[in-house]
Amino acid sequence: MRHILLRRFTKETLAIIGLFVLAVFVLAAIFAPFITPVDPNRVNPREMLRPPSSSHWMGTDDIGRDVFSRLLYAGRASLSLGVGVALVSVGLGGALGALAGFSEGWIDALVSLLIDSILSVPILALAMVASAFIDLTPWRLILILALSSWPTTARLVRGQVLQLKQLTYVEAAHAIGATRLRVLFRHIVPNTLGVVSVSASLLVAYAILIESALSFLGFGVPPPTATWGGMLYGAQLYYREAPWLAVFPGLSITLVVASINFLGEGLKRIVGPT
Amino acid sequence: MVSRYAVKRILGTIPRILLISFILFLLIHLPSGGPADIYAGDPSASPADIERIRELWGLDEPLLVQYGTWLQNAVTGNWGRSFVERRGVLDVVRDRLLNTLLLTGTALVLSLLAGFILGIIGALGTRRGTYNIVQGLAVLGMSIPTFWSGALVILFFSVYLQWIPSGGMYTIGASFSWIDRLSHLAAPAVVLGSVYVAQWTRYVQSGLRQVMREDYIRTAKAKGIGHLEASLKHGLPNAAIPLVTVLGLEAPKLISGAMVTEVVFSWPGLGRLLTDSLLARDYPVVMGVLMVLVLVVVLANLLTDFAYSWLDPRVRYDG
Repeated sequence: MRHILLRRFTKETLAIIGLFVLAVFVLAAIFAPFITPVDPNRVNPREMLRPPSSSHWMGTDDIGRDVFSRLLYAGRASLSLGVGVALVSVGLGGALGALAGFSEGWIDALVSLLIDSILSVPILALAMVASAFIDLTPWRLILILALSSWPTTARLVRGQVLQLKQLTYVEAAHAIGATRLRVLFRHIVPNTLGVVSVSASLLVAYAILIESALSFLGFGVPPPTATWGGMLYGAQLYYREAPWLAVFPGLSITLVVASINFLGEGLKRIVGPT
Repeated sequence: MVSRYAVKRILGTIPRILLISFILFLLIHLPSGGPADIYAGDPSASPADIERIRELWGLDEPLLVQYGTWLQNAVTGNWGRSFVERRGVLDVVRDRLLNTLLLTGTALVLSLLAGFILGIIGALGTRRGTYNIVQGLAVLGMSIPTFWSGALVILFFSVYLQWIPSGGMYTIGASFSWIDRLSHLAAPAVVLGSVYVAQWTRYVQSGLRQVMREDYIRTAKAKGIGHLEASLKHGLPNAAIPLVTVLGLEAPKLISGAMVTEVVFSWPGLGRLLTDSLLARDYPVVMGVLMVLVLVVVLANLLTDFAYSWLDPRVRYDG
């Protein structure tokens, strides 16, 4: 089984490129202190808004901080936030979706109502309102984004469980006397993991995008914590004098999000029924 | 039949509108001291003043009662007054909603137009390569944040080339002219629409490819119409059906995108309004904007359902 999946993966050129680019960013984030000796938060009033040069590969910002170094450390924040959101969101959405699909009746009705309700607000608006009125920390932001994004996964998993329940092998398991819980965890849940993993990978990308949009609008994690969106927010005032401040963080977001999406799309084709 | 189906679908949206309005109300009123906090830091307001304001706005009541009052008022068309603009929330929100719809609508039409043209070209081309390139571009397109591409567009076309204005809806002080309006609308609409071009292209392309394998296309061709005519006349309408569903599902994301694009281009829409009123703690307006967004999304979903059942009568699953 694993062997087949692996062989299929080798045919997904774009997914492999995505994996490679993503690996570069992840490694750069992990080994940031070894790659650049410059402290990302060190202010240097004598070197403000310097264009890219040999001493500052990506220039310096409005208070003389090294953009390259900030970019690496911001990668740590943005990537771990994306992964955190995806884990919590998929865990919650998967559990509630499976519960709804498996139990049906009023539990299903209630969960479905909650799913539909939350899906009727654009995630960005929901996250903006939630983060505007509290003291935002990275952990709280993860929670906010997870609580606003779980319904997508829940809806997918619910549909999948409803479908699986109709299949003969599940009926057979019931017939030979398996308990409801055993059927759920032994026979149904493992078969939703394909959908769930695709959903999780796409969520990492979406969370990074939403976080940077939030930061760009001024509702993100407060400074000095650097995130890519936060760097873009700071760049707004200097589009004219220092365009490099906007170019590099935006490029990082685009490359990472695109890589994860390529990877997710590849996974979708591999585990999907084609 | 159709009308009964329609009524049922419309009534079906009421529970979720109620639940989400309750959740949003709690989200706004639970943290910190709520709306009266705006005046808490103001030295000219004595504790007695703040108490009076709390009483005046009904803020000393339990939250559930406050929500009940809000709901009762909202249903009868009284959405409260803006603390900042000192006029009715509905009036404030209405102007901004039209601007947002203008931007979103233009972006949607432009991207659909481009998507259909590229999708048809992609599907009719027999080379496997073009197909893969389009699929790749679709994923790339949805990965570029509009606040970044928007900034690059402003940098290049407005700051460097000076072809277009850098923001707003019209030149302040100038008299009304269509050219002025269009030159302000063009950049944000293209930036917002560009995210979706490749995605629509992808759906049109793969949908058309699938449909063209159907028996009725073969029959049409056997009766003597050409490949191109068969694709456009019989293939395209059927290939467009899945696109309708996707359009409805993408509505919330499209609005999220519009909100960010508005801020980048200083477009006076709901996104700007929400940002400004959150910063100013203008609670009635925040609630108003959120509810309008909810209604727009619900309406988009309903329209999708109706369009779907009209295009493909097989799915009119009522009972």
